[in-house]
Amino acid sequence: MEHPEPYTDTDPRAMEVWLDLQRRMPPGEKIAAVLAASHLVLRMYEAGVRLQHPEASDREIFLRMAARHLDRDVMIRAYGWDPDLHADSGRRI
Amino acid sequence: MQTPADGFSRILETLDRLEIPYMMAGSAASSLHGIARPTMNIDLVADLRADQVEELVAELKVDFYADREMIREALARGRSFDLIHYPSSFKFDIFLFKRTNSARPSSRAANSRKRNRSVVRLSVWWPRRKTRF
Repeated sequence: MEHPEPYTDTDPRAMEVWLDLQRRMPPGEKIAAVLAASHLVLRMYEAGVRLQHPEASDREIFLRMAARHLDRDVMIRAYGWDPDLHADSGRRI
Repeated sequence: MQTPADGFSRILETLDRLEIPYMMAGSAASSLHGIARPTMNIDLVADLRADQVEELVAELKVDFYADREMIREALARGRSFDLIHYPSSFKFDIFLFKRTNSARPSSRAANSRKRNRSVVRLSVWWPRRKTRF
């Protein structure tokens, strides 16, 4: 099986084992894995924000983390927090 | 800390309770057929009616940003709307079912009455319990 483009840095033998694990995974477990991986990404955002803003409150850390993946408009509507008023929010441009 | 899985479970429970037919779409759904990858939002297609909006918002408003007017506008214009899970900041995009769509979402109740080959029923194991959708 040809390797997907984003994984060309993976040894073909390891890749085959990994793809086989993916094939065997039941659909429900796959969705759970997607959500767990997404949660991990959020935690990594959070860790990055904590490094940048060690004195920020937990609430501020959360808002800055959320602003890394939510649009400004959504941040304002959902959380009443404007990332543009915090110039160093690290938000995607 | 609540997780995206908590938000997802909460939405599915609510759609089931209100008997709003739905199905997964987008990158999370494609993961079912390929490699599981992280995503920052989950897409659902829902057959939501105008008369169900009030109840949907009432069910979700504690845990989600769910704007009644935005949902009504989406219904009127045939657009999507988003639900933001407050505790995790995870986003769920709800696309409204169009009658011209070939695949039709289905509610749990409908599934119990008839077999619909376009709907895949899944068993998801969450950390605390098994959720069927």
